[in-house]
Amino acid sequence: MAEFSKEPAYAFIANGVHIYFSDDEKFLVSKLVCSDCGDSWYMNLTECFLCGSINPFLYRCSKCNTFQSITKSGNNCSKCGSTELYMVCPNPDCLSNTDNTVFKEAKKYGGVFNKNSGLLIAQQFCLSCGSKYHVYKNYEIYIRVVEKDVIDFKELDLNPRNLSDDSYLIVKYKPDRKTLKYRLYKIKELAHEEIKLDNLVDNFGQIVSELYPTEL
Amino acid sequence: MTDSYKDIEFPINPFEDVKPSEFNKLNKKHVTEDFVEENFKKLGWEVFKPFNDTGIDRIIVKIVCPNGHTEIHQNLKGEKCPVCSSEGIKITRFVQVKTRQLKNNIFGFTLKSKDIRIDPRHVYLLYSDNTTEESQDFLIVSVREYLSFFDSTSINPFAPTSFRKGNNKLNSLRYNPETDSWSWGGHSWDYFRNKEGLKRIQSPDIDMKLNELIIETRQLADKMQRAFSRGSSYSAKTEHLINKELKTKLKLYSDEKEIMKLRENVRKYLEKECDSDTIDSMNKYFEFMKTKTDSDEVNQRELLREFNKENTGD
Repeated sequence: MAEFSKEPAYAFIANGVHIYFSDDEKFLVSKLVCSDCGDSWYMNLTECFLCGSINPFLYRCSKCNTFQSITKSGNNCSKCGSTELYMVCPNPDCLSNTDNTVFKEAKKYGGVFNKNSGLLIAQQFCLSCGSKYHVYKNYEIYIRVVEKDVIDFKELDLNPRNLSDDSYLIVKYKPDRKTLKYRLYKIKELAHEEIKLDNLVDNFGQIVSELYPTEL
Repeated sequence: MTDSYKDIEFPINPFEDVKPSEFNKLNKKHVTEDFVEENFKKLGWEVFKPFNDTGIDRIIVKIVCPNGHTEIHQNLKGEKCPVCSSEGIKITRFVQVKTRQLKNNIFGFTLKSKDIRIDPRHVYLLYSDNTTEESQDFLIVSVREYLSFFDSTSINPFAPTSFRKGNNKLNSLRYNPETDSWSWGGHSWDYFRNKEGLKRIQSPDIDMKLNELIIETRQLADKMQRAFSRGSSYSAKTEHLINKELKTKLKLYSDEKEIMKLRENVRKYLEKECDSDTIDSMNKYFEFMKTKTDSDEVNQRELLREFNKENTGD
């Protein structure tokens, strides 16, 4: 039996997909995605609890009103030198900006998007379509490296007892030292004894996009 | 294999050379997750562990009868249900493990807003590794049942600002040694305990009605999370204003076009207010944040340091 291989695991991770491995060669790939459009869902991104605006990771100077990136700021405003920098909600119509009491109280904790304010929340709405529904999308993955462009299904050495509707095969086609191409198959659809490798793709990201398409 | 799940002990200590209570806070992380894994394997689950830190500690998979005939120690892999001859269906659970030592019989833990996923296959496994010196308990509860419990008991641990700050230590889950039972705020949690909890999360309905239950879980999450309790941080006036606003917004944002319109307006506003360097930097940092996992330990300062290092090549 083949062993879990780190190479495709890293390729998935580089493409934003999580990897889970078991005691045998197959592994699970999993991603939290929007139920409606399939775009990635990020629980580590935050939104304004009051209005749903996305955290822009900006400071606003309360003296001159300039926005500036949190990555470039020291402790002072780059325009007027003030130290009054707050991570406010960027929506001018948000209650945290329109109501003076809420604004002042949020400022005490560094502004809405300062973690200490308690006025921010993990992503609730899809970044691409605004949906509020997310779901884990998973596949069981098998990897085979082949040198020929025609392969016999039996050569793949896949145990039918272990396969399910979400079992996928990634074929790495390496006919010589310089060539590396990929093809993704839903294993249950591999009804033919002989598999002719066609529609090969050049990079692993294309395989990930086939598994995790987005509708937008 | 034992015929009835009633004869099964769960959990058991799979590591005979050491008791779970012998570990301390600093050296228990891996052993506790392995403890959980071995216990699930023993009952026929296929267990997958994360390759890197993802926020999910284990994914567990099993083939069960769609009519609920599979007992907790069985797996129908490659076989039909012996009771109704149905083909098995695959069920998957995403397990987030929280291991704690009881202090004064209280299981104290923290859940943050990022831990509230609305996929009902998401499961919290609260592992009490020293209920007594010799015994351990798993409290196994799906996110939907977790939210539902609070909805039905009118307890709301999601309203305080500390929940959204990420430091809301929950100290109401209690073990009573005299009655050997678990409760939260006086309400029983025994139906989430060990085999009872496992039975609940093994329900094939969760997978068969996935879309329906996602909607239901979202509704529950909205109901519980869209509430604001000021604590000592905010004034009564602010609490009133925010709760009024949340009520209005909850209705408004049930239409996804509204939230997209709002975000587009904010994007245009920022483009007008910011210079191009600020916009570039904002976009770059946003993309950087998307690549981060849900690890609890990283704080903003560390992330900024990492971002600046990557972008300046220091």
